[in-house]
Amino acid sequence: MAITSPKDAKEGKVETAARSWIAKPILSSEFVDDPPLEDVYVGLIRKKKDISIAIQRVSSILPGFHHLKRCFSEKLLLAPVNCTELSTEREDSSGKERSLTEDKLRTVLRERGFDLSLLKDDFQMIKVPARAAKTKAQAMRLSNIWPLNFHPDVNVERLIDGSVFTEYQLGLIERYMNVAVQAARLGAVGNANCNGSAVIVDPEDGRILAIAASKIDQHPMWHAAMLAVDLVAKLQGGGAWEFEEKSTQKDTVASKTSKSIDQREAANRLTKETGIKRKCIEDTPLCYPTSLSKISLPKEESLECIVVRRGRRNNGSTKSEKIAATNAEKCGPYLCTGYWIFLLREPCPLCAMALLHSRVLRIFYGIPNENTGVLGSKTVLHAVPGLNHRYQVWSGVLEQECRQALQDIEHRNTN
Amino acid sequence: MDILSWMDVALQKANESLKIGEVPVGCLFIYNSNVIAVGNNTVNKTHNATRHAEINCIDQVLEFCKTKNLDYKSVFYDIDVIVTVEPCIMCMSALCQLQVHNVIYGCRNDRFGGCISVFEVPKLYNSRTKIIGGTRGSEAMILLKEFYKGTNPNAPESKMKKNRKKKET
Ligand SMILES: [Zn+2]
Ligand SMILES: [Zn+2]
Repeated sequence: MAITSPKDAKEGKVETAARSWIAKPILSSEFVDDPPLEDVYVGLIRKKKDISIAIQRVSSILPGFHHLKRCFSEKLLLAPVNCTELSTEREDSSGKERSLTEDKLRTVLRERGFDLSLLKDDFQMIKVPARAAKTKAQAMRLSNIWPLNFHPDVNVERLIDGSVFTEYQLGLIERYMNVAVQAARLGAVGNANCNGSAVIVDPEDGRILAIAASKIDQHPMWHAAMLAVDLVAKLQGGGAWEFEEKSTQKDTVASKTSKSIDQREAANRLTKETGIKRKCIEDTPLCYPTSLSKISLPKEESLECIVVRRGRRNNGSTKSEKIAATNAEKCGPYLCTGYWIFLLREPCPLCAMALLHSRVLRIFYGIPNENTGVLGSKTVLHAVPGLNHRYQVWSGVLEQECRQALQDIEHRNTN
Repeated sequence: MDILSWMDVALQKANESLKIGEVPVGCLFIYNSNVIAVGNNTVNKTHNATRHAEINCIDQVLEFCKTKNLDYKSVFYDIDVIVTVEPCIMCMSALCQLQVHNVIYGCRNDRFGGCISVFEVPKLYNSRTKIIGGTRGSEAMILLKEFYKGTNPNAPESKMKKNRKKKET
């Protein structure tokens, strides 16, 4: 993935198109919600000149608070009240709870060689952020409570402020989503749990590989994303479902050329022999239902080679070339590695997990799925701990058009 | 046949899967005390990462319904799923949508489990499906470990990915 520098991103913003939509990144709650506050003991430093020695001593015997400045306006952070390491069980009015008493803390400090005369006799209890800020915005808010050690993550900030995409890229994203909108209007039959269409694109050259619309009237698993993933598998020598349509003679999967079947078989052999992904350029996109092949496609333009475009070809191998090489290396049974997918609507867990298994890189959807959507509505699947692949997700792309299309489809299918 | 004997059949299927280089997960769909679908992973064969044992069985049941002229919805409603490993989030979503009767699994799926391990899919669907885990779990786990044992957890990232490609459940 070509990540342009923030400078490049700004250059790309020279001509700001009037767009009706904003791509909202779907991030895990740790980026959205502020970290909780926790109670901590602070000691009050008697003499200003002792601040640095007090910080040094306390940091060596009671390490921690790395996300916070250890000392602020003569208050020295000592230990959290709920410090499991130092706490002892005690009875209080609310029953048993593990927490650190002031006396116990004083004992620990003394035992570990801290000079208690540096501090005033009584400690105080205050609230400070329990965890580090993840974003600049969080850091701004939290630093009103206590000063922080904060290092913004450039990539996260670019997701949040939207500069991860140039205007040029946003224009292309809109075009691909427009294909998804047309596909949904032409063919989608879904239900309240999952509906719409899917367009899989190789961002390297901007080629559309597969276009699918939900067909759960034909097969309960034929959600748009499930179909699209199988179309890509077919394109590259595999695939599991046989797509037949009653209406036409012996029409299998629609493709742009008649010689495509032979090409696909050749690709199939090559893939099996070499294990390397082969692409048949004339063969794309595969469409299901076949009627989707009449959608007029946007001109193929790379979604990621902005850096190259800006004339850095002489700098040895460019970033995007390197990334292309890594993408090629990563090919295997996970045939959607590196691809972007455009969905009319937020996917259900079946589709979202299918895309995760398939290793898609980026997901864009138009409108949320309040019923069973797991990329923002019911949960943020790609932030669930333990999963070994994470994609990036944006919602709100061409939102109005997607919403209108869904309404029309639902209306059509209930009448 | 009882659950334990069925799980033995599923384990045999998982073992076959292991031998052909697919993730060793075996699955049976039981309808009116008959096995109407038997499946294993075919991710490598199909080049489609969604071809898990359960998804393959679902296709077989649909085929079964077509030939017997049965309404698939009512058939799935009475189906017991016997699977050696806890279904992943994708498969559990499929089984909840189809409202199968029971899901009986062997060992947990710490990477992708959709019953309890990673994400509780049934909660999203007000699911009627009853889930029972832990039947012959250790045997299922042995097969998985056998499959994954070639993977060196300390290998560099790119190498790891390469090795793992063929090894996801
Ligand atoms: Zn779906
Ligand atoms: Zn699965």
